[in-house]
Amino acid sequence: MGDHLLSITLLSPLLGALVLLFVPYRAARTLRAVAIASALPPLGVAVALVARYDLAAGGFQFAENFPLLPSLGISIHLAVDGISIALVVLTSIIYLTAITTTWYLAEREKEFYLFLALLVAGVFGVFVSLDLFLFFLFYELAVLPMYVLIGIWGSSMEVPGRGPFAWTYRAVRVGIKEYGAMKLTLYLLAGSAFILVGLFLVWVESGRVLPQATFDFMELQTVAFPRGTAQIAFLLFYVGFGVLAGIWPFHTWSPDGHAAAPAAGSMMHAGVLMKLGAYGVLRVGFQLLPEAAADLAWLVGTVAVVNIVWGAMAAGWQKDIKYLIAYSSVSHMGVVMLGLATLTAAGVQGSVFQMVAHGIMTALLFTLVNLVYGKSHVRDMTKMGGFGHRMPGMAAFFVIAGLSSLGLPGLAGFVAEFLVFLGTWTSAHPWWLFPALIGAFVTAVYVLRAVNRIFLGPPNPDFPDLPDAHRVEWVTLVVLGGMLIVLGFWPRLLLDSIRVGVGEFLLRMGV
Amino acid sequence: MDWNAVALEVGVLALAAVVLAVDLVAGRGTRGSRKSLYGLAFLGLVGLLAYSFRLPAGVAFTPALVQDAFALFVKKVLLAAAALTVLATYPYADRRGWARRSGEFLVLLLFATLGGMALVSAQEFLTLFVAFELLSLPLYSLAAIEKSRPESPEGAMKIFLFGSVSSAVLLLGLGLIWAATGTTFWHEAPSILPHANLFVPAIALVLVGFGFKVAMFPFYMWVPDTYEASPTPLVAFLSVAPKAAGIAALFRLDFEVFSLHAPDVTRWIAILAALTMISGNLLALPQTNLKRLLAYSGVAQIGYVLLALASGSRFGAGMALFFFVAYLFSNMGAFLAVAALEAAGDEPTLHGARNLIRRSPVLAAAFLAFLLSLGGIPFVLGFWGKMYVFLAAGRAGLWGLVFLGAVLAVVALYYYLNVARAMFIVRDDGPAVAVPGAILLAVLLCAVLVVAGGLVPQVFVEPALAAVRGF
Repeated sequence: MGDHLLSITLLSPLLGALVLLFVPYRAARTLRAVAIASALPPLGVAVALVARYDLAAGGFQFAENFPLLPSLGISIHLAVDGISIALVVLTSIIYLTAITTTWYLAEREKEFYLFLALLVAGVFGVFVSLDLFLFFLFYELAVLPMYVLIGIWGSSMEVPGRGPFAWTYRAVRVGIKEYGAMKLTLYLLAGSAFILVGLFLVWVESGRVLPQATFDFMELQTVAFPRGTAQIAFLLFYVGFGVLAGIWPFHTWSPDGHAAAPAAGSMMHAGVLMKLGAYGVLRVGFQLLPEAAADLAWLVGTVAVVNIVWGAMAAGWQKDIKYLIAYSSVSHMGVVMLGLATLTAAGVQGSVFQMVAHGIMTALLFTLVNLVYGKSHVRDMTKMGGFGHRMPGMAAFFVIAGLSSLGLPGLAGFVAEFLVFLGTWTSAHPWWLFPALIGAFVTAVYVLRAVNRIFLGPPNPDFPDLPDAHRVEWVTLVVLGGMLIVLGFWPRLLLDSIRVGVGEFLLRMGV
Repeated sequence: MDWNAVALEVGVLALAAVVLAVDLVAGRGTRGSRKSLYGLAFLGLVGLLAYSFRLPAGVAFTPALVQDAFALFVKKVLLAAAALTVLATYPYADRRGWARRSGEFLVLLLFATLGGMALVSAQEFLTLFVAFELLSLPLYSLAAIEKSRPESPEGAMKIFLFGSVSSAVLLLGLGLIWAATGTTFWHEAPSILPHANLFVPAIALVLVGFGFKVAMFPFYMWVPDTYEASPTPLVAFLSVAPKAAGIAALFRLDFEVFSLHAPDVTRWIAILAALTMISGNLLALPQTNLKRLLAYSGVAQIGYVLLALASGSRFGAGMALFFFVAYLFSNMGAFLAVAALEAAGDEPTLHGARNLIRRSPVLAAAFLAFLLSLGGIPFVLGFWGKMYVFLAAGRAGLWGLVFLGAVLAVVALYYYLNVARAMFIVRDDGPAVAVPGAILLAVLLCAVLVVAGGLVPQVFVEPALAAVRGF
């Protein structure tokens, strides 16, 4: 107690949104300044959290707790452990770079930054809440602004409409940004309907054991839920949060939504929000209901390897660069869920590290493909080629992100995938490793082919005057690319606290 | 005989008499006199609302008319609904050319409010029926008040036909209950009945009778047509007040009569709740007319209240009361926002609301708050309403219905977001919307309460829970 680091993290984007409300539309410079000002305190807090987290003591620290609706057992209970600290760090970095990457947006900036700030407040709220009801509220807050972000600032692809079902694509307007926005929102809110029912189930059950039904995570942990109820609740949480984590077969909102989203939208969503889903499965699914999770880990892991292979195959199929990156996210989120399902120290550490590594990497890739699209106005890879001559800097960063994506040693992605695969090998289901490795191989194929198609080759006569990244846009690239390298060479920066958090997680799981 | 028990009713009656007298004396000429008539009615209603907070609960005027805390709470909701309607009507009537009939409008509206208030106080079947009729009859005429518009008589005819049939059915049901119990005072009914088997058809008929009034499945057909054809501020009232009063009366009947003699009734209500939620939400999906869309969404909302009724618990009743507060401000707010659009000369359709964020940012923001609240999105009042209803149903073990309701809430979001899309995303330059001051004030009042109530729901939850302690 004593300090209010977590409230600062939460309030600063909210305050930013409030201030933005009163800044006039035309004052673009002020709008951007306010947005940046709301992004800096969380970054400072993230650094402070990493530095000041007591590794020896472990557990949840920096707690703040005051009652909100005591009659229903709802309170504002904020605290972080080693796992959530890593994710707060990730979120604060992505928020800052999401603002810098849309520096030259020039369209309804006020609303854009406002909704972005609200979204970020929701994300921070989820990562630092220990009251599950509050957790749910913030979860909803994080999901909704995407609708507006995609609907207004998104981009539509030209639907080719091939194959026997082409007419359905035309009929429902697949690929159009409004379609992507609505699909994403409805999928995620359907997921949150599952979560809500699961939460109420847990709440009602807790009322049978505790003197007062509660949503407090720490108190709920002391409740031994009946096995059948716990399994139902676990499945509700797994499906509910899993939709956001992009688990197969509920992943299809992700390519449509992410491909239609503006740069900052995809960065936030693929970079951070999908982690929110994985974090929910970890925290509310596994950690709250350990026995049920152990019973059903086989399901989680098997679906995860389907994700890895399916996502990679689908990514290899795409011509649209935004769809390619979106499907690669589906594949990489499979790695996150696989690590979790191994229930081994290495596997879960890798899973959490992959959340961070993939968050940064996919944010970098999305910002790059959006920059490429913004400058060339083409999303079809087959029409590109030779862009490396015109935009060498962006090509270099694309290669860094791509190599991290395929797991090259020295970059963050390697650490994560290595740990996950190690954990898989020592888990109860070592056979998961083989499809996972196939997925990793296919990833290498499509990443290298994408680099080849976009950037390599002779200068392209169709695009005579492509500029490289512009001033502030470099900030995004350098920060994200730099983080990938730093975490690749010095994973302990985050892995130390992750290790403590995962240790307690596994203790709770009885492993 | 405690006059406190009918103080609000007497107040509304007196207000109606004064409005009628002033309307007669002052003549129908000037705009100023019409405006002051609305001002008089509004101030009177607000005064009564303020006064209602000082009234004691649990007092009886006669054994047939008792004002317990539950009734008092619903009366506050009714008064607030009437006050907001009166506030927003004048500019609308003025622009649509029926301001001349202001006197009739106000008097009939006040009588309907009076009927609703008596309905929730009633403890005896004949009183209940008279109150039910007093609530219904003025609304039939009010629906036709824009009689120069061609579609208006159609809507009025629909509500009249369906309403009068439902009254007849209700009367038959009440008669059967009387036949079974031998008394019209339900507290005096013996616990073991000679003709208990009459109770099942009786309850079915009563449910049908109220079903038309509150627009539950399958008796909602009149709702979209009447809403579409009636003046919008009236629709705002129509969509809240009769439903609140009807559902409250159903709660009382369920707790004090049905559940004693036919415990199975909660199961029927659970099925009705499911069907009402499903049909309302699905039928709202293809609507492009905002009034029809909100009409079907209102049907769906009633499904959620029925879910609370099906939980059969005191907690559920409290949560239904809270839900009605949320519904009052969100739904009235939404309809009044549509009224503002119409008063400014736009159609009440998705097309009419296009690009509203540029044409009237305040109205667009308020409308968005109402839609989110109706959709049950956190940080606005409606979310808490839905959540508490789900909690009540979960406590009663109705997990299937909770799940259904949660999934349908997502379906609902599709049509609410479609409206939001028209307002915020469609880029089509329309003329600026000049919202009349009075309507804007009513809309903003609702918006402030929806948002503030979403941040501190205790303000409404605690009184609602306190109001059902007597059950």
